[in-house]
Amino acid sequence: MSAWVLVGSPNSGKTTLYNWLTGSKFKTVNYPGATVEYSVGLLQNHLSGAHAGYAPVVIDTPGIYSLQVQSEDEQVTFSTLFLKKAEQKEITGVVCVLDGTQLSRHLVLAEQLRQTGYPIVFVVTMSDLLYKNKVQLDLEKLEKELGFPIVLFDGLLGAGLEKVVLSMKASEEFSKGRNLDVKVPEWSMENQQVLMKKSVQLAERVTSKQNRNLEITRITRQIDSLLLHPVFGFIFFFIFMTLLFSAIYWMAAPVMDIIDSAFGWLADVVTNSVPGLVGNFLGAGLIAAIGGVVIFVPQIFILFLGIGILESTGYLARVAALIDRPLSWIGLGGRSFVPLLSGFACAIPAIMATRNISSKKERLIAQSVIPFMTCSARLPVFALMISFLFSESQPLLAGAVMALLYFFAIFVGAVASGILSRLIASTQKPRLMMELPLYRRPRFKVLLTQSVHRSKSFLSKAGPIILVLAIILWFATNFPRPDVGVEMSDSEISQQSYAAKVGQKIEPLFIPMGLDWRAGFGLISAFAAREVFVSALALVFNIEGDGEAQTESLLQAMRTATFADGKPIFTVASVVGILIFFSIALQCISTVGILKRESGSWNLALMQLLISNVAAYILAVSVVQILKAMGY
Amino acid sequence: MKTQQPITIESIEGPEDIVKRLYELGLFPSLQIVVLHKISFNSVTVIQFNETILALNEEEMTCLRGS
Repeated sequence: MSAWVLVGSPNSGKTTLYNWLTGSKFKTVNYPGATVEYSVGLLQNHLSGAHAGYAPVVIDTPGIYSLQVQSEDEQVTFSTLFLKKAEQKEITGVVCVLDGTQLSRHLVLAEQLRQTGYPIVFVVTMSDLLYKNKVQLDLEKLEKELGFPIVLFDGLLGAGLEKVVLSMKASEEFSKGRNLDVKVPEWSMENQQVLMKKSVQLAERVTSKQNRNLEITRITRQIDSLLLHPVFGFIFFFIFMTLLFSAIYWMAAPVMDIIDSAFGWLADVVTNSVPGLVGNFLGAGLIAAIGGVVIFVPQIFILFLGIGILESTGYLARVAALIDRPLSWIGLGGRSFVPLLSGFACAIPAIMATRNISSKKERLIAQSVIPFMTCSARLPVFALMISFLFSESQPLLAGAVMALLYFFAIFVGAVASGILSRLIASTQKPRLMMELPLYRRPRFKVLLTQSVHRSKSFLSKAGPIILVLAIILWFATNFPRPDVGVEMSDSEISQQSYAAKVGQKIEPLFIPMGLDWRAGFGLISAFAAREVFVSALALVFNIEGDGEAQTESLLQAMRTATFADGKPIFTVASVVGILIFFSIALQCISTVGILKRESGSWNLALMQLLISNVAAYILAVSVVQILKAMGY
Repeated sequence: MKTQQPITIESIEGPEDIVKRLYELGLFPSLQIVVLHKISFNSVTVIQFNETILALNEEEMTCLRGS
């Protein structure tokens, strides 16, 4: 089976082409360095069928500026091309992706690739921008100069896709039976300089319009005069971030209420229709556990949509440059910004995104700090605790507290980063050298699809864990059953359950946090997945379908829950303690795994696991005790 | 370097990794650039050449010598 590698400079449109070729739905953004790992896919069936069953493997790679690699993500591309690291595929040829609006620069890489000996198909992207700015390229002339086929491709509509496949197939047939003499071209400053000048001249010869750079960048420069203003730039940034983080709460609230009521109604119907333990398991166990997580999907959707809008416009690269200096005070640089922001969605891809950072020290610090960012799995816990602290009539205040929690995560990350930057020996200063892409209008249909896809992915990842845990937790909180003839309330059964026995053993650990065994049991369950905390609380507090919305039932149970001496468990102090614990604790085992993979050290990953959790516990206990002393 | 004024790069000198990357990003002696903005407490310079807009930190910017 033949294999074609997509190679090109960062943000040239490789992933868009890859999605069209393979039918994949990888996220495409307007930010240089978004792809940090290779992806392998088969040519889509309809394309394969239209070309007599031609079905090559297509490999997407991280962007590179030249074949002289400097960062971890660029090394992935180099290894794919020359060390057969992409699943040991024998490479048939290269599809070199050139951004039509950046032709003079991208032709340098094109020339280097020509020297490798691989058959090449050149694909010129961003044709919509060229068309919009009335810039025409003489592709025939360019094809003659480069000596390989060239196709103009429209990433929005997919125009030119057939021709790309046709060119790949023709190149493959042409080079069939020939031995590929693949080599890494030599690089020197002098060669680079000559190549640059040659490329600029070539780009000028094949481009129809004079001053095209001014035309193409005009709107971008106008917007930048506002968003990159020395003072207003920071104000806009703060406003955008606050809007994003607070919108997660207040925009999602109406939809969350509907979901909550629907699950409450369903649990009620099932519990009343199915008699005995089975009904109790289905209503109070399964439906409550699933509902406890599904309810937070609107918030997660808004988070993904908000980040998606920022990514697709080209604004994020500007922010990276804007906050380069403030980040340098804590040992980071502007290039850390996007991985850190991605950490608010999920730490795993965010840690992988640090490959884009060339300084080893900065990369290590960023990897260590990302788990402090408020990932989507923390949202359900935060939302529940905020609902406990504020009534429904204070949505804006609740939204402000949610935003505050996000800023608290940033503060904790900054402190940790500052400490680490003093502990890790300096190897190299952070580098910025960041391309600022042209602003593009967000394509809402694509963004909505991507956000739905990512929300579904959140559910499908969390779903099976929640299902299994729901069964275990329900069993643990409902068994052993009382002897025949002995009447016991659900609450009494729960007090004598296996969960209670285990919980009471570990209760001394949670008493300083102001919590009893039930909340402690929830905290321990959260180490399987953070969002399970809510379902676990619903189970240990025996939330059943009683006609009320589930969250309201859980909140009511929390408000009335007391210790044996009658003192309330959930107070302002203990709830703030829970929020602090969840803000800092590293409970995600997948994150520990990815930290090990990216840093190459188990010691580092395990140390972070230990330090984060101990620090989270100590800080939570301290705050709870202080608040208690103050009468909260 | 003042903003909005064209500058011609005379040489690119400094740490090897920076110089190499600046060349790869499309900068070279004799190229004309324009400084668009000074941001991030004046520590980051945004420049434009041809259709490319780049942000460089202080250390990277000092590698570009020109008038």
